[in-house]
Amino acid sequence: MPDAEFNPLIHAPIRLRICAMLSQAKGIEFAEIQSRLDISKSALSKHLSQLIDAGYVDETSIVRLGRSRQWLSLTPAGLAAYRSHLAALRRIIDADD
Amino acid sequence: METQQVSDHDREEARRALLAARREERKTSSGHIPKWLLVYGATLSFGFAWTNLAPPPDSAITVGAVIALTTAMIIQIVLLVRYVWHPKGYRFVRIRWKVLLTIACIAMLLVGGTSVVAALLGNDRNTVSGVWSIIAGVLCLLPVLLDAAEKRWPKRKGHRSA
Repeated sequence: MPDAEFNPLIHAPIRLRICAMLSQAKGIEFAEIQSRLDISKSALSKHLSQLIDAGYVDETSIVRLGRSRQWLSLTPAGLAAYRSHLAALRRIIDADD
Repeated sequence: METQQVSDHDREEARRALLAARREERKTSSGHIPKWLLVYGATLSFGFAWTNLAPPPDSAITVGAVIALTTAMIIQIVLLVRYVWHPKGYRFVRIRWKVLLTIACIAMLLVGGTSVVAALLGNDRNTVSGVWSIIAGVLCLLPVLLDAAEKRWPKRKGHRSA
């Protein structure tokens, strides 16, 4: 079991969902995440910048067919923080009164 | 949220967050192969089974149907491989059904190969090919059935996994 550390930054519902998605792929396109979460571009950008600033998410831009596509991925630190947060949640659920 | 003194509210919130995360992980790792493609593959396989078991061997209908079905199956395999390994908008997804789908692709190739040989030679290999086709069809339907079963009977709350 990974170290269990509750992470308030990751715990916010949208950011938790972003981390959950990114934990299952090497990279996901910005537009795909936006469509999955059904939120505005600006709202998603805001959440992503917080994760990027914390060093949890990496952002790369790839120009393809004249269009710039933004790819997001979890950094090793981000993946560790996400797993540790899930472990903390499990610990809370299993805790005695 | 302190873990030392946990209230029911904290526990409920943690449980909801964990479920949301698990749901999102599951969607990411299993939501890219369209079900229509799997059902299409199963239909083709059962079509192969029919051509091998029902009509008289080496008839014009059998040969024509096998050639048409093989062409349709090659297209289906190309689409399947594309969706499994390179889903649009994702890079290297950890898809749970990858192994199963790869086995299904191999089985389908075997079906195509044995069906063509059996249809051209028109001997008792038709039965073998027919059975292969049914197995491939069931393999194609397995992810759809497992997914439906998981939705119908979700895992119990607080399921522990590393």
